[in-house]
Amino acid sequence: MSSALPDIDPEEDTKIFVPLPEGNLLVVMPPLLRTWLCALARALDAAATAEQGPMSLNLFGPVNPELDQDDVVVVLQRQMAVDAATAEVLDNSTATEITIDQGFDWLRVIQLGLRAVSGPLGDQLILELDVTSELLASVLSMLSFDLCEALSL
Amino acid sequence: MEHLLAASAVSPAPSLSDTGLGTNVAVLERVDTAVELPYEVILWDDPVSTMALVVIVLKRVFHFSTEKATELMMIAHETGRVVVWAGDRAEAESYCVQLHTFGLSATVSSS
Repeated sequence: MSSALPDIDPEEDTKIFVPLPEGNLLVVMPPLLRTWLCALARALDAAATAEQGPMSLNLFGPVNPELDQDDVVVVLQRQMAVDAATAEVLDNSTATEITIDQGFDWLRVIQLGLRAVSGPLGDQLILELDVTSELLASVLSMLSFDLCEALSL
Repeated sequence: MEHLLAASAVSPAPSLSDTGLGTNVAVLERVDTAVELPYEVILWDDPVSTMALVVIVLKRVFHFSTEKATELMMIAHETGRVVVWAGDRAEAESYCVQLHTFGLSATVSSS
């Protein structure tokens, strides 16, 4: 699977998520960026549900730093949260309007992608998404900033 | 602060023959309890997360007001860490996981 990042300038003041008067968010996202976000969601989902996947501890860090690994309940909670967020993005990848709840799921995927760039998933993501880490981080930062701004209003 | 009943050990009831008291004996059970100290959810400052992100996530996860979320975010930013919640272990871990899934650095520790 490879989805080259669309031609988006992270420095440009482009609004991707626009708050609507009734509370929802308008999603003004180019189709290629949507495809790319779906590929990111699939990669994160696969990593989160892998039995010994790098996402479990290396990406998140342990809940209790005194232990080598988290217990099964914590791991399961984390997998379910990531699974729900990635499913939300994949199920509504073509939506032009999303709710605030859905917006927070999109934010999770974007933030986890951002965190993965500098972690052990970075190389895998970059390979799958066919981009450089610098560009990947820039676009994800732009999306996160824009979505945070929309969710703050 | 919430407190948990961490351990509950019930000693085996003696048999009637052991007591030598025959029937109709009320057997008292000894219950040992220990009070577990609360667990704290600690949010750590990190160079990746923006201030706006931290504020909206704290509001979302803990239902804090904007003022309280902003105050906690600033403490983490200035001192490197802040306790955002304290209570029983299971809830603390659940909150910590929620913070993790938004890409924030958080841990749980017993106070």
